[in-house]
This record gives sequence, structure tokens and C-alpha cells, in this order.
Amino acid sequence: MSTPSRHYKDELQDWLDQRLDADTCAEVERHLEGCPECRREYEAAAWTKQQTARHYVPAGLPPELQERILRSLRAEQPMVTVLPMPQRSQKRAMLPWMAAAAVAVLAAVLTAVYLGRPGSLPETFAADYRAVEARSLALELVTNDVKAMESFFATHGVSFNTRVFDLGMMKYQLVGGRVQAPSDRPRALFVYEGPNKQQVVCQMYLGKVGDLPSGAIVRQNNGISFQVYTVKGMTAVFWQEGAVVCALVSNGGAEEVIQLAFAKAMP
Amino acid sequence: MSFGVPNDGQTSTAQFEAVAVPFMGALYNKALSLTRRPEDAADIVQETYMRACRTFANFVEGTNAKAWLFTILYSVFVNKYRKDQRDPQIVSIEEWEETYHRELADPGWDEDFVGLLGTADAWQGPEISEALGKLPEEFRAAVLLVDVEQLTYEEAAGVLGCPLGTLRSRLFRARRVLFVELRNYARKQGFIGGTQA
Repeated sequence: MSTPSRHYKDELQDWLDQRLDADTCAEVERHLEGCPECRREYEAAAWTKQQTARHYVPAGLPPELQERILRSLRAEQPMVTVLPMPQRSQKRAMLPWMAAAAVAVLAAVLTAVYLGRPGSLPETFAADYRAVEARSLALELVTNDVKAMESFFATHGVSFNTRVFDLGMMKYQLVGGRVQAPSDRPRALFVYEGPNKQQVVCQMYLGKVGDLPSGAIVRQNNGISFQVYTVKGMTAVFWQEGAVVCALVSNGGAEEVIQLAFAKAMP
Repeated sequence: MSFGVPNDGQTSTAQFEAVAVPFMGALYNKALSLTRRPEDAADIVQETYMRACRTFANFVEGTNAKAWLFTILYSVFVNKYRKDQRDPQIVSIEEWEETYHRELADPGWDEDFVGLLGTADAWQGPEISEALGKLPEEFRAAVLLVDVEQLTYEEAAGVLGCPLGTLRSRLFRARRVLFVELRNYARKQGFIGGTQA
């Protein structure tokens, strides 16, 4: 094997931080095969980055500090415009076809209620929905631009192509999103808001719907199989798009969530 | 839209809270890593939030709110607190890098590295934080912003007010130092063989 003419220190760092184009990536990979020095440099940096991201233990926020800051903010700006909180689903005016279909689905779902195991993905996604609703899970990008949202995911550790849906026809507007579990198996999470502030949270990740827990209601549409779970009053619909699993979660009507999934899923 | 910035010029505290409050923990952690004193960290975070709320109308919708808050926090730190900091740096970055190069050239590297890969569950304690604490502040900040907070190079450079190349260089060298520190720790704990660097 010939001795490399130069080392690739800068490129290695960019490769590690996903800042290289595909051609240069391939060039770096070829170089590493023949250069033990660069391979070791890469191994050390990659291991260090991974350990830091996974195991760094942040200092806990003192509970009294948040209260103190909120008091100061509100005292300084007494003219607060209080935003309406998202309305509960029972106050939402549903379209007649949705109401009829929801009754049918609800009856079916009640016969096979999914008892979400702690840590299972439907359970996790339901918890994420609650956190978004309670605003304890921050959106890292606030935007109604689907392309901006997709670009954000591409530059923040999501390795697969995300397809951020345009749900405008269904009167749902994108609010923003964030990357979940960025150091483990990144998930693209994005939030929509619809009529009466009803929220729908979508998540995408690399995986297989076959790995989801049993207990789902299976619906078919346009050749696609949809797995429907109910977890703590929420509906979570999962389906496969290539190597990516997509999920829609909402505490609105079950059939409404399912119809949104039907409308946007691609074979 | 409930999460957006009002476009009529009237800043809403409630909207600001929805965007900014969820990042308070991350900001406190960053402030503590900069000052090493909980009281100072709390003061910095409070001032950051007050400034951010006053200038919320300037926040550009569609940009990273966390990066925006970090930028304000770092500005508060630099202007009011940095002069009082004394980094407990004992070994210079250059010395650390010499050690790093010796380790890379060690004939036992491959065996040792395989040993390190087998220690994935061994890093649950404060050792990563302690290793980060040995870095000079500007190097530590680069690692925290990029590797922990997942900011892009551009965002992190914006927070620290430095050129992109400087951010890149600090991150590059900081990871080397951290590697030496963590490898030493692994040796001390008997996770891998060899003598401490």
C-alpha cells in the first residue's frame, strides 16, 4: 500500500461533524483505508464526541431560579398578552364525516386498547406530545416554512431525508420542530396547529414498523399499512416510508389523525 | 401562530416564555460551566432572560432560539464576569497535544482503543464534566455548544463571537485534550491497560 501524500485532518473533522459533500466523504473513506495516522485521529475524535454527547451530565436547574426569573419577567412587563391554551378536543367542532368515522374507530379501538409499555415508541411519542402541548419540550426552530424545517433537520444531525408535510389543505399549519434524541437515534419532530388550536405532532426516524409493539389496530389505505395505537387518550398512527417510519400523534379525534396520515403517506 | 413572534411590534411576555423558558436548564448549565459558581450562573441566566425578553422583537422567526439565547448569555458573561474568571488550567493545550500525539503513535493503540470501545457503560458519572472542566473556557464552550447542545458550527461561532475557523480549531483541539483526559481516566479505573500519560 502506498504512503499517503498528505493527511486529512481538516476533512476528518468535517466528516465527523457531517459537513462534507458526498464526493469528499468517499475520498476521506478511501484515505483512511491506507493511513493509520488519520484513522487513529478519526477514531479518537469520534469516540470523544460520542462519549461527550451521550454521557455529559448537565448541572440541574435550581427550581427556585426559574420561579425567580419568571417573576422578574412578569413584573417588568405587566401588559402581558396571554395566549389561549390549546383547546381540548371535546370543544372542537368536528366535520360530520369525521364524527361518524371516529365513533366506528373508537369502538374498534376500545376492543383492543393498546396498553403502552413505558419506553415503547407509542408511549414515548405520546409523552412527547404532552410535553409539546405543555411547552416543556421546546421547539428548536419556530417556522411555518416546510422547506426551512427540512433544512434544519438536515443540518442538525438527522441523516435521512425528512418530508415535512404541507397540511394546509386540512387547515393545519406547521409551527416548528426539533430533533429528538440527537445523540442516540435522531428523530425529526415537528408540530402542526389546526382548527381551535388542536395540535398534531409528527415524528420520523430510521426504523421499521415491524419493530413496534403488538396491539395496534391495522388500517389499510392506498396499499399502505397503518398501525394505530391509543395511548392515554391519544392516537398515534405509524406507517413506513422506505427506511423511515412516520408517526402522527394527537389527542384529537382518532379518525381525524388517521385521515391526516392517509392523506400524506406515500407508498 | 402561538409560537411566533408578534409582527405588530408589541412583544408578548407569554410568547417569549413559550419560546425561551424551555431552554433555561441548558442556559444555566452553560453559565455554570463558564463561571463555576452557582450564584454567578443564576445571575447570568436571569440577566440573559431579562435582556432577551426586552429584545424579543428582534428575534428572527425561523432561526434557532437556543442559539439566540446562548449568544445573549455569552455576551453577558464576557461583559460582566469573564474578567473575574481564573481557569484552573495546569497543563497547557500544547502539552496536552504532545501527549495526544504520543498516544496516537503508541504501538499498542489498536488494542487500547478496542478496550476503550468496550467501556461504553462506564461513563455514567461526572468524569466527562470533570474533563471538560479542565479545558480553557473558550475550548470548553466550543465542545458544549457543538457536541452537547448540537449547535451548528455557524451558530456556535455566532454565540462565541468568533470566526468559523477559530471555532473549528478550538473544537478540534478540545476533543484531543478530552480524549487524553478520558483515556487517562479509563487507565486509572483499570478499564484499559498501559500507564497513565
